[in-house]
Amino acid sequence: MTGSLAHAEARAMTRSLARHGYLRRPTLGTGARGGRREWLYFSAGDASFDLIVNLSAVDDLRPAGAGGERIRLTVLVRVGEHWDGDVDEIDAELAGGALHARFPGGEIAVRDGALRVTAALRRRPIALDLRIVPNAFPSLVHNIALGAGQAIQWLVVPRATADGWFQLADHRQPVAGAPAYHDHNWGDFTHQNFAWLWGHAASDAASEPIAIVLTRMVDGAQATAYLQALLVWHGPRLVRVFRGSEIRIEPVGWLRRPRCFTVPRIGGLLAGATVTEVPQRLRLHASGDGDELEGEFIAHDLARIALPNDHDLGTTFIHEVIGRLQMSGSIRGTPVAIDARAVFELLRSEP
Amino acid sequence: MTGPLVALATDALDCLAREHSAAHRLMCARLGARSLAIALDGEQFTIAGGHDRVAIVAPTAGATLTVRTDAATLDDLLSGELTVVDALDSDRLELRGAIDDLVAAFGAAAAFLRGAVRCLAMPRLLERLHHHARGHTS
Repeated sequence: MTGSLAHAEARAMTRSLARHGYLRRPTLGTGARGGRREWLYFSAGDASFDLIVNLSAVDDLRPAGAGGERIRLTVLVRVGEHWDGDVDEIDAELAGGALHARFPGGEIAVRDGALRVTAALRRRPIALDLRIVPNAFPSLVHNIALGAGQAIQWLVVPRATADGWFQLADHRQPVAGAPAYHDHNWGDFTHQNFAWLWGHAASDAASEPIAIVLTRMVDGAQATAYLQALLVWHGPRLVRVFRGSEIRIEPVGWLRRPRCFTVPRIGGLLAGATVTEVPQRLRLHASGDGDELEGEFIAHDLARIALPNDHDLGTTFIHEVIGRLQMSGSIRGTPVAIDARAVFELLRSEP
Repeated sequence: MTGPLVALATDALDCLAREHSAAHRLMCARLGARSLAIALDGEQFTIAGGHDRVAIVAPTAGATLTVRTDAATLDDLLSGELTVVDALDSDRLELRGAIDDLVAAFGAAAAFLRGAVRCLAMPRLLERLHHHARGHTS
């Protein structure tokens, strides 16, 4: 591909993100108050750091809540094996119909052909300023039914590049061409009978630009899958979606860490200090119509986000698991392989 | 019986009762009629259970459990800087009582926490504790 074509394609990817990745606030506004949720998730990282940012807006179902909305900004930073971060309750201007959120100390916006993500936490000495350029077209999934009246939608940008910096106390880390990822989810659901396994990885090998997203939506007992899919991109385009029974996922062992960093910070008291239900490995196998991929996700480290349930006094923990995805096989007769940094999300509930 | 930490503890229990009655009821039920003699920095008071209520009263003899710690430790626990096990190991937190009573009190504390994270006013109380603890440790 020539330079001008590549440039045109990059602009098209960002335009596509702006066109399809807009905040769905008007849609949320017409629904019944209950389990309306929308969030923007960003991940960037390389061998020296991991950075996760999540801006979420949900119905405020706390007993003393005034029927409004809770907007929370979550930032997790990992440098070496040290985690930091927190969850801030914030006031934010969220522009329905546009991919634009403005809040104290930061914003999320499409500007000059890129996603701009800036943020600063209130109680932790953490700030960031990233320019994220999509390197793949976004993929959009609508109306995944999760049970009576509940559904989720999402948009995913599996491969992107982040430039900028983040600050952790006195440490200012430049971010230069780091692999990045973005997804945007919205819908109407609670965690009463819904959990997920969600993972993403993008090879930084220019010769084989493979990106993979694995999603598995399950019931509360994690016994029945509403949907499972393994999506494969080559370069900017989605080239294969394995679905349902084409995919086998087998957990192996348990990830044991001496400590499990938890946000919001008080969340560590809502569970034990160590994690016992996050697998150390996930063996993955996908095959169908002559295509096949096999390999595993190897978990290295994790942090967790504690979400007090709306429906009871329990807590749902979103485990952000850092690791490596190694898969190989063939699609349409062409060999495919990936060995890349990966982030998997696993949900567990505690009463 | 006055002091900033007594006032903070009283406000926290009032907040839970006002904003999350279900968690408050669960905490009361788990604590039962047990009483906790609290020594928190220089302040002493008793958390007295009464099955359907929990009150903060003046220090009394014969408490079921004794708890000794300081505001900085409490702040570190609530801000995720310290685990309960580490606080106990380092003698920053001391709990004394029969094991059944300790388990019941732990259950009551867990119910308090689960309600507290759902209270709108609780973050301001945590900020008060944080500022108080910083004042004592800096």
